[in-house]
Amino acid sequence: MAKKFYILVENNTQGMAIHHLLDEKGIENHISPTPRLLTDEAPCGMSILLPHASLEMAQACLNENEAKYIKIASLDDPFEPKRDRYM
Amino acid sequence: MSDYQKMWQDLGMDMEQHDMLCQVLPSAVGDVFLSQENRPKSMDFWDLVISEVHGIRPAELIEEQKKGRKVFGTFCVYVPDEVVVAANGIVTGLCGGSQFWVPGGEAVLSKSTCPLIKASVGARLGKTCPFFRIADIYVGETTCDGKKKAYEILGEDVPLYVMDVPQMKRPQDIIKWKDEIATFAKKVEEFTGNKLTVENLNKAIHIINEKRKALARVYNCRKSKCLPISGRDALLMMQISFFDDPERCAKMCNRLADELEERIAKGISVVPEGTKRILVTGTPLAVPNWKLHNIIETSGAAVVCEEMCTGTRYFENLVDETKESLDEQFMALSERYMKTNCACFTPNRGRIDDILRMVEEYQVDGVIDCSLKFCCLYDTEKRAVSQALKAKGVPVLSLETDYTDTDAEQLRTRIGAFIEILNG
Repeated sequence: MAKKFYILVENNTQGMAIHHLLDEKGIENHISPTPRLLTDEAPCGMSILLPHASLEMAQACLNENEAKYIKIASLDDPFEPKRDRYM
Repeated sequence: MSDYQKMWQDLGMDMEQHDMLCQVLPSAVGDVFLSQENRPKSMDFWDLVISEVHGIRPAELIEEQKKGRKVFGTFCVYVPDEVVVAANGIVTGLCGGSQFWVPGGEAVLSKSTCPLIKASVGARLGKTCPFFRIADIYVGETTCDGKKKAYEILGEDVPLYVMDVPQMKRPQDIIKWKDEIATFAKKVEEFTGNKLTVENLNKAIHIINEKRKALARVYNCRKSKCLPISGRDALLMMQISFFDDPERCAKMCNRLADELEERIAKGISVVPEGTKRILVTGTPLAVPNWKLHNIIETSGAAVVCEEMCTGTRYFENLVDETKESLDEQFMALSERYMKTNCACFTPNRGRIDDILRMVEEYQVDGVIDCSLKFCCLYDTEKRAVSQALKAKGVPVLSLETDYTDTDAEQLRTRIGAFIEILNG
């Protein structure tokens, strides 16, 4: 099962700064609600989702730019488009 | 979304229940939106908004209230935003698309009321939606019997003003709606403490027209054979547009439209060539109601247009910006709003004509006409919609659903079979 990686942040400002930084460097990333399994580790409702292929490049970019974030956490692919569990 | 705990507490929300509601959001957003491949990059704005749907915009509204601005919560595309904006008020849509709120609504309403109404009442009374807590006044309208009765209940709990929408579209009805808008304007002036002038109303008309044009630009891109955006993403954009600041909404929609136009020029589509194109018509899909679109698009078809209040009815037709007196401006507003073809009108041939036109414009292969349970108006119009489409040789599937997940498998079977027929 493919893993998904989430950059957990303190707040939206931190999250958006990372999103723009990764975009600028052409590293695929997406804004995501913080998965419920990870909310104990992060106070912010949004996180930055990375596909596996972006992980190493993103880590290097965050280090190089001394970006502030809490941690990078991973989950086994949490998406099931046909789960049909709506709100 | 624990970032906003203090704000929600200050709003008097039921924190425990609200937390239960928020639990479902990440997986639902992941399954419906983030699981898609090749989404437009500009969707990052709406991904952010939906990630913090009960945080970012509510916090902005509260900040504006501190400056003395009033927030008007609305339920329907017939309420003229322009009048509120002209008086320096803010319009926000009110939630009503989740099963979570339905039991709370059923505690005070008949069970045979549509889920949209039950959810709206449940969201207010259950204290689990910040928008319902923040709005200084609700503006209702008489577009269905269920809502009229629900407003009587909501009115016991919050200031509520109801606009009387005509039920026909004769010349005298357009004048009646103009007078109703003028009366509403007086209420807005009194509530905000700000006078309407020709200048501020003209400016507001322009702002809302620009928002409509931006939404229309995105929809125009969906007319292309090369489909640059999924129906799910377009629906999310549309749902959020009811809550956002209108000028920012226009800016973000125009940014998205720029990207979609570029995608079309480069031949970038979100679906393989030959994917069947579906027009969805019927009752509105209030946020976070994504069930129908998700089932259609994970069954091998693509939604290219929504002929509904959370769709074309929200942005089609502009208000004339050239009028020079308030009376003329109210008439211009009435003329534009009365072109919206809601099933509350009789006769309502205009909606049939709209659907037939959109089938051509959006190069549609099949129509799914879906109404919420207990919506007698749209349910009854299915017959006329179906007859008109069949006469033109357009396949149509009529459905009824609610907000529960329990009929998802049944919907998958019926929608899957419909798409199979379209695929021949």
